[in-house]
Amino acid sequence: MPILGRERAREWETVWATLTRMDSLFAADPEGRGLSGMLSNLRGFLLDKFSKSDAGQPAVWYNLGFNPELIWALGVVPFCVSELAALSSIVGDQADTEAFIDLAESKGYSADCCSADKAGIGALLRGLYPEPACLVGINTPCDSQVAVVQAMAEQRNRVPLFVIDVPPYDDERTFRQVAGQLRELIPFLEKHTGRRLEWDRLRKVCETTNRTSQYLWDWMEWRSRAPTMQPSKVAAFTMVLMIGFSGSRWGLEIARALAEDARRKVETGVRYFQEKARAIWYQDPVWWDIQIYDWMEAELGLVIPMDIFGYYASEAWIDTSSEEAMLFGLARRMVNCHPMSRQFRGTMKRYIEDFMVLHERFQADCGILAGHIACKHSWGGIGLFKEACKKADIPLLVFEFDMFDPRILTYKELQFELKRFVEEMVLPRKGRAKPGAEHGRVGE
Amino acid sequence: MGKSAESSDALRALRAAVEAAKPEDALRAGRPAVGYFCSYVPVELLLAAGLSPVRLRGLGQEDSSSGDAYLSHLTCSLVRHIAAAVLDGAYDFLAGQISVNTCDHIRRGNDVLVAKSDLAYHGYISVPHSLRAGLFPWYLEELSRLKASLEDHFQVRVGGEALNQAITRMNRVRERVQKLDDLRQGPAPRLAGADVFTALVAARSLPPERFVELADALIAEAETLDPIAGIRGRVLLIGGELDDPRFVRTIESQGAQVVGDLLCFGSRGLGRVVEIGKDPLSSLARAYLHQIPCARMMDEFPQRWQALLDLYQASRADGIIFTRIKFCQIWANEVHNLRHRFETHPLPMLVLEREYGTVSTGQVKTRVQAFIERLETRRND
Amino acid sequence: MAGLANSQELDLVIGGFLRRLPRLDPIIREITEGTPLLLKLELKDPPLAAEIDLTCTPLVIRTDSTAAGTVGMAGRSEDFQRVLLGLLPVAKGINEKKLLARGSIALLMKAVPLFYVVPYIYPSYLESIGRADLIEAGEYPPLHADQPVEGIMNQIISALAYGAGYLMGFIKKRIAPRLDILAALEAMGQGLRKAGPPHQV
Repeated sequence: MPILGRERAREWETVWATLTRMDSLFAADPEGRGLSGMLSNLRGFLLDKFSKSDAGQPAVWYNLGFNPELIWALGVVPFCVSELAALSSIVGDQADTEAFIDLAESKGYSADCCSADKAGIGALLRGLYPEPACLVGINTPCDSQVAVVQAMAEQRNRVPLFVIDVPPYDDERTFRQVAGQLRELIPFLEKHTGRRLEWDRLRKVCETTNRTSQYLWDWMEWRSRAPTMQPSKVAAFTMVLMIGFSGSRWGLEIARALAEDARRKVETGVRYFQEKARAIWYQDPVWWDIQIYDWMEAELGLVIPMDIFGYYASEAWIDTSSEEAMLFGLARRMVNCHPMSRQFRGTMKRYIEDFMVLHERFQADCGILAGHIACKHSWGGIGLFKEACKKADIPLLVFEFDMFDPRILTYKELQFELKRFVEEMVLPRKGRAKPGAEHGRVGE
Repeated sequence: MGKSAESSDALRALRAAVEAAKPEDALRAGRPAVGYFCSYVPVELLLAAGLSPVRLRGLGQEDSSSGDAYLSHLTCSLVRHIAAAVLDGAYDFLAGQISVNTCDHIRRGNDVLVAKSDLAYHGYISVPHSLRAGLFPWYLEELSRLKASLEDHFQVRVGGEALNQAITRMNRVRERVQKLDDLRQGPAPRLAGADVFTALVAARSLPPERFVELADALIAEAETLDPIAGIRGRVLLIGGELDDPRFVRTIESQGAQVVGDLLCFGSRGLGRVVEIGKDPLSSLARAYLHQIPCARMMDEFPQRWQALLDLYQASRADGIIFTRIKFCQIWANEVHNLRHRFETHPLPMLVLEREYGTVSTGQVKTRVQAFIERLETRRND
Repeated sequence: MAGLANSQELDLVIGGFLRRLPRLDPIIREITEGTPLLLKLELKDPPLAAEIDLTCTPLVIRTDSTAAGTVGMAGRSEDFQRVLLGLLPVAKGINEKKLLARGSIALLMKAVPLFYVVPYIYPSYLESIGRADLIEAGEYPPLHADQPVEGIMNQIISALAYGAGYLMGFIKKRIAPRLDILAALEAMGQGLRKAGPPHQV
């Protein structure tokens, strides 16, 4: 198995080497220490995975809508099937992600599905994850998950699969329904991993999650200030945290690094560009090149204080006083807090309401719906969403792209869309409403 | 020249029911018509409530622009057509609609109908994505809530007896569906696959008794027909939503005989009779949840595969035609999963992607022709 | 920027420097780990677009191409000049939005070490073309954080390289002020290529 032992697959090595280089690069600059804190904990996370896999600990595969607290609590190794694809795009070689996508499509995986999942299946087909003891599949946040779980299960059709069904509602009954399934999941995981769940250990994991939650809420608070001092490119990382790191000490440290960096930047008050417009980025981040957010800031003065993938709702707290309370808390968090699952799985009402809340709280001037072509729930609600924005008098940019595949909309094309929107629509309108309404001068 | 099904009055009536802009037979009965989106909605519940269930379709509308405006061109064209039909007034006879969390497209279609249509009633059920026993109570509870919601809105009471009567009525439909299935599957089929498929689609909007009457007539007539000549290949038609017999006819125009299907509008959802018992709602829940699973059921590909193998063998099929509407994700990866199985159990398969409402006739013909030639070559080898 | 007021001059100075890089092909290849990347530099005020094409051997420098490049770095010419001088480390440039990077992070991270090395030769180059006036006095921050030393051989080679650098600096200061450091690095590169493992491009 490539990840085991010292000879890891090239794709993992690329991620590892890139992380190491980035950490070394950014640690040298005080402005980069928050980023460096994230990167070094990401390295710690990977090192832990590598060493546990090297030691032959069982692995559990799961998909995007699941949070891995129960897997951490069992002391086994969680692998989200889209993990390597996401890492390759964000802190590795984007070409690897594209190669994964192409491989999956060549095996009949539909181009209509989400590239995160296509790339995940590609990585799986390349044999880049340790063989799983069992699989956990969840139907959130979207149809693409329904599809990827089946492909994952088919690729390992002798490995047992446990499906968690999240209903499309957001009430107590739904939380209880999911909590009941988590209760069922425990003996399944115990049976197939050969580990026994210790509730005290789960409690500690949940407490780590709670501390992580507190940092994320603090982080959001610091980012809501205008001007926003922390770069836009980290606005979407809550999502990554919840999928891969939820309940782990690395997740906690990454959240801490994010929050402290945001606080430090606000307190020092030094900034390097003039904030001219603030946008809520809705739908999917540009994972294939997050450096484009730097371009938006420097060239357009466009800041993304919050992204739907970064928004961390208030229902995340886990009551650790009893087993039932913990399972209920984990369920509620997965249903109503996990970015995407919260907004995508139910009606458009929640999707639109969250946008309006973010727009207000983060003092945005406009909205950008970066329409990942596979997000059918989003495209299916586009008319209602546009109407709501129009009614609220919020300028909105909508474009089709793919969050992991620049071959759908290229860097240049994306620049063109953003530039035109900001310069021809948002800024003139803002100027008319309140002349000189930019936030923060350079060097303030 | 022998007798063909073309002269059948019953078939003509079934075709008319499929092609009609309105379900006249259902409306003639004078009961409120309620549209539903998915095969996981037990129509017996609607029948027992004194309603006329009508499976939502595009109603032959070529233009989906009012649906497109809300749902975008990246959404399933069936859902767009349905939304357009409702918003444009083609469904003005409906007293309400029932949606399911079948897929993202239907969920958003429901959002649009709730927000923008004049329909007075909107029902909704959440169907689990797995058949694991622990999830059954949720589905049963959802049906129970739907029943309560229907009772409340339509001011009716749906009792056990009424439910059992509705199950009996629909079981007669299911029995005819099985018979029709048998007629196209035999070694010398007398009914074209397209004709049987027409009947199956009609079953979704005709009152059960009317369907039984027409189906019985067609079945009786079929026995007097000559076997269909010139069949070059026997194929199974599988996949997601297809309600257009013209598509099947186009396939068959190239010498194929569709000898069976595992389609949502085909026999997949109507193939098994429902048990009549003391707890009819549970019987319904069990039967509907355990129908041959839709691809939305996340741990049930092995069951679909087995159903396909069984049907393939029973119908002596030579190949499979898989079809899905563009952008449908839950059916999209069936191709990946099937191909994975074909590595150890090879079966010939043709994949045809479609847009709802159009039958790219030339393209379909060309591809089916090539596929049939492949089947013939394979048979001769 | 004093002394680089137009594109022609920019091309002469920074473009000229870049055009000398093929001489250092083996060393650059070593620094970038033989990665076949195409680094696009897009300078503005005044403008200059240049490509360092490592997809062929020896590497090629182009200033007349419109290719997007595998990875890119954009910024004001003044800031880029400070990067070459080592006054503006790449991380700081990125964090302060003075340098806008683009493309695969992995490939960018392979390209960035070039800017760790360049500040040691760029001032000599400016002197050699008679533009010592462009060498700014300033505080030279660390270019990147210390990496853990990986093994005794690394320490030995680093000590030897330090010694060679020290000797060259001594000679340049005391004996031969016009000593061509690029030529020395080029010779080192030739040796590296002869004895070291080949980089496939």
